Amino acid sequence: MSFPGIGAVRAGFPCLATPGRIWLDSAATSLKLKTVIETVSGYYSGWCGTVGRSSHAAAEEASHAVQEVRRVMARYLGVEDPAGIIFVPGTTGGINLLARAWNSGRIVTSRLEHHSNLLPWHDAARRNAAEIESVGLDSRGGIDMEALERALRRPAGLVALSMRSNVTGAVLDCRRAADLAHRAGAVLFVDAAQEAARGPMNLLNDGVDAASFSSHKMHGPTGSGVLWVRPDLLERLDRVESGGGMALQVDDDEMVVRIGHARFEAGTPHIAGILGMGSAARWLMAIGRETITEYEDGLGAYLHQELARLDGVRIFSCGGGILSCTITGWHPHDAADQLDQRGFAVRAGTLCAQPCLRALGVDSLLRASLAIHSTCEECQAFADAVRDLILQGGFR
Amino acid sequence: MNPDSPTGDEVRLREVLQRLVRTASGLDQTLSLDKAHPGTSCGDRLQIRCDADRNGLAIAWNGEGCSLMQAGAALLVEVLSGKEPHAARLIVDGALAMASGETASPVEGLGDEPALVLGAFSTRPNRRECLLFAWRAMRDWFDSNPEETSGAG
Repeated sequence: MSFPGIGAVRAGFPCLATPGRIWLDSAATSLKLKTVIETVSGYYSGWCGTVGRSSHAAAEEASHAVQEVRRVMARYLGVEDPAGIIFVPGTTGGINLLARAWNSGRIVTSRLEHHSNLLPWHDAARRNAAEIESVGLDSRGGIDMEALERALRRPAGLVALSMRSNVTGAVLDCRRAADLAHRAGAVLFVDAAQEAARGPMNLLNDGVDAASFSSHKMHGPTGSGVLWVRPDLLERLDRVESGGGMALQVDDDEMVVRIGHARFEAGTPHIAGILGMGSAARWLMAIGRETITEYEDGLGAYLHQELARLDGVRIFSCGGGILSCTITGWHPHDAADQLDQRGFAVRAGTLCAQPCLRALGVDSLLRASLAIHSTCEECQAFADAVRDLILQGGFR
Repeated sequence: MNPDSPTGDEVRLREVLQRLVRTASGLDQTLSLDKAHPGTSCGDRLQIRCDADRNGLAIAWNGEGCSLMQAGAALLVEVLSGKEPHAARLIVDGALAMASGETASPVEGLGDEPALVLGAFSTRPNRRECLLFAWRAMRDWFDSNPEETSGAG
């Protein structure tokens, strides 16, 4: 399916029908699609059976629908086999699950990471008495691949990197990172939170071994997401939770645990969230990765170009749909407040990436982030508003 | 894209905040050193020095941060300077409860203008953290100096 046109895309988001706000906070969370809202509402409005337990019609219907979403998400990630798809509450939940299940080896990560892809690995390293090393940034705000290569000259167990930075927008060369990781005997885990809204991925082809992302950043509901782990790797992980749905046989003091994703999905899952995520994935797949990426990258380049023209704006991002900057005379929080009063929703602060900001030499940033529904006019209006702030000279 | 017309209270709030931000800050080196307080999500930093003698509390602050952090710190100094420590502690506790929306009751000794500012952020939990930065630091100071507030009042 080719790009349906920005009008048709925007019509898919009910909140965009209300004028007065421009959403430039998609890297934090995305606007919700009508199809997602209808799916979630449809589940709760109906008989809302549970999954994998009861055998009445409503339960069978829900079980089948969740099974279908598992297949959809496998296709979305480019892994085909749904056996490695674990439903989790989101990116952070997925990384924590993997980190708690991880049981050996040196961990290599980077200073570009969101805290969610850093702190769980700190915990894992402490628990396993393993070494953890963070590689630095290159001049464009991406991961320094030369430093990564040096770090992986020694054996390692796991390499954890973000596919796209939530601060600089830099994109990981997954293939190269995977080659380096595999040569060191490590598996490559990628934090795909910022990549999820850009359409279907190709993780197996990229050499990725595990990945996690949230539904709420891909126009789906909050509280749902995916941790994907290569199925052959799943069985090497420790089980971290116990409960209904993950045991084959239970006796007084022992149990036989199921294999595959079920081993990591104790209890009733967030069924409505999973179904909503499936709807979002289907919608994004219908547009296609190439179309989404081309559109957002083009729009991002325009936004960067317009802000780069302004004296007083210092840009820390390198492109894509993320623009992080400072404005002379303005604390990012004050600038964000002023922009909010003018109708722009943006993010300010450390962006949950303190090591990254330290590496960039800045305490706090203002971030505007785009999505498939963003427009050139919105980018221009944002640039004009920033120009006004510069003229205003600061909060006074 | 124009914002909605601000109400009378919003205009007054903005004026008070602007006045507070213009209030000069400065760290009086003669006062006892307290630890620096880093902001967890914003990168801001604040340092408060505080002493108590028979003239009441002497407070000074310094730091880097947004206008609300500065306004909150300036407000703290305005409200608490010269206050007897035990009474000051009660004001800080009351102010934090008011700003957090836990109580709408007036806080004795707080004053109308500070109450307007603190009350205005009771429904803005994210930005409230900036405003309360100095107030939480002050509560930490009281907690770590219990002798200053015990037995008084």
